[in-house]
Amino acid sequence: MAQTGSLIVRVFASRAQLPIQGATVLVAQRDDQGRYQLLSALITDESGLAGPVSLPAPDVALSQNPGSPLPFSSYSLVVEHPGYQVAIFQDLQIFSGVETTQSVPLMPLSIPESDSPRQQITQVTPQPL
Amino acid sequence: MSVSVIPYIPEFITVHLGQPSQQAENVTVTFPDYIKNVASSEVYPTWKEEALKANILAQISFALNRVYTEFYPSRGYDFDITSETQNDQKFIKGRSTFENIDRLVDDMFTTYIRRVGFVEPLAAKFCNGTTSTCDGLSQWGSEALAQEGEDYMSILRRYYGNDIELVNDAPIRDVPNSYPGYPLRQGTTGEDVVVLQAMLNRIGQNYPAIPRLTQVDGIFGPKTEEAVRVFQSVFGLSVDGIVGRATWYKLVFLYVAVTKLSELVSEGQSFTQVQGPSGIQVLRQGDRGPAVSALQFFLSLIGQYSFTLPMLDIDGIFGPKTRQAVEQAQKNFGLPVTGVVNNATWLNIYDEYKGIATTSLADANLPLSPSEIENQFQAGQFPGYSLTYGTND
Repeated sequence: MAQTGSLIVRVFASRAQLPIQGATVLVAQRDDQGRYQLLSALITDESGLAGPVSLPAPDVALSQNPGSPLPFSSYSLVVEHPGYQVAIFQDLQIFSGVETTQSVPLMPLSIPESDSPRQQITQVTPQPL
Repeated sequence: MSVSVIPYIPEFITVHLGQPSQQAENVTVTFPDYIKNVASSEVYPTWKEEALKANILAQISFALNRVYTEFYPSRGYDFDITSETQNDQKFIKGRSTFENIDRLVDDMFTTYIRRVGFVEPLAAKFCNGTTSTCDGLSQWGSEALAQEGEDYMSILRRYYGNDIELVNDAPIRDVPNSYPGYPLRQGTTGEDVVVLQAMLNRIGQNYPAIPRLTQVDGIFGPKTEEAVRVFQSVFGLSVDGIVGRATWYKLVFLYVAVTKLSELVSEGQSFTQVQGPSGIQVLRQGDRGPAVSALQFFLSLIGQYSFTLPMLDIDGIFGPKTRQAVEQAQKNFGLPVTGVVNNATWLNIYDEYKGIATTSLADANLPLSPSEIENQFQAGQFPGYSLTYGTND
């Protein structure tokens, strides 16, 4: 039977974690050809929360011993809201039976918009085990 | 080199995102968030809980040792630790974390390992135990031991020796409201409950889902419990309506951050009529005065949103910290990194501030109303040039 993990996304601004309601949250997976499959599209609530989203993950037994194939599935996440930089997360890890939490601090866009980057990309690399 | 006598838990830790001498960003995060990130980056969340606890304690102790010995600052660096495994432990800025690891860290981040008879946190080395071995904890080894039924203390003793002990409830520097030392629940009364209720209400001003407590009376009743439950649910804590160490410190850290932002915004009102030093078109290290204060205010506010700027005192003195902040801001904007505030730098900083003021601050429950913010930034022109140089506003 396929195993699953879950994902919760919390979107806010600043260290004070002011919640951002109405942010669009897209969960996708890249296939072998590098194309994205959209798996889930959500909108954050008044606390800035979206999810949980249930996502397939490899058998938990793969993580119990060294030398196995990677014991997690990788997903991509895009979060956007008008007035803020787009936040992109690559290779977000989902483990079987585990809830992954992605905190998303969004950066307000400057006014008028400058040439500085309008998106922020976070790339996760595997644990050095 | 002076070190403080009693090790403390820092409120924030500054992580250099590269090798020490490498040009790289610094990011400043709360200490619990740092450990959650490291633990999620170093081990698998599906491991046995006792293995996770042993690894987390080693990571906490290692980081606290770096802070306590001022390892990097004493060598002239402007950060506490690096994100690389060559010298320190793995950290990935902005990564997702794992709920079970987060819960363990929330409970344990004020606990560290030390050798019996010594004060400093143990510089707890570790390695994966397969491609690298070391005189310290083996990560795969710890999981194997946990699978055999060993608990985290026996795992730690196995790798670090029998002469280790744990220090619990270490003080957190600069954070008011220490955990009362016992969980608050329905029926508890007293000053600690007053503090709890005040924190819930303040945070609830920005989180409408948290019910407002109309009576801050120091009596933990059903309404208080409901507010605690909603708070726990939003912030990913165990939802039990009981305020233990994890819930208490989650509240405190957030409360401190909310009041810090509010204070900053209030302070900003005094910079609306900044007049720049006449005839000087730029600001640089060594300058003093209200124009520097305004600069420090804008950078501090931006720093609340982009965690890569160092914390600044708004003292009107353009010193090394202010210069570092300017350099980081210039990097973020894609400008030449000079540490000198010229026209282009000011405009970028100012535009960033306007963006913050009209999106995030306009929605938030902070002392300024949106129309006051509107007036403030219309008045706060770049102080170093006259209106005849004319950007339109």
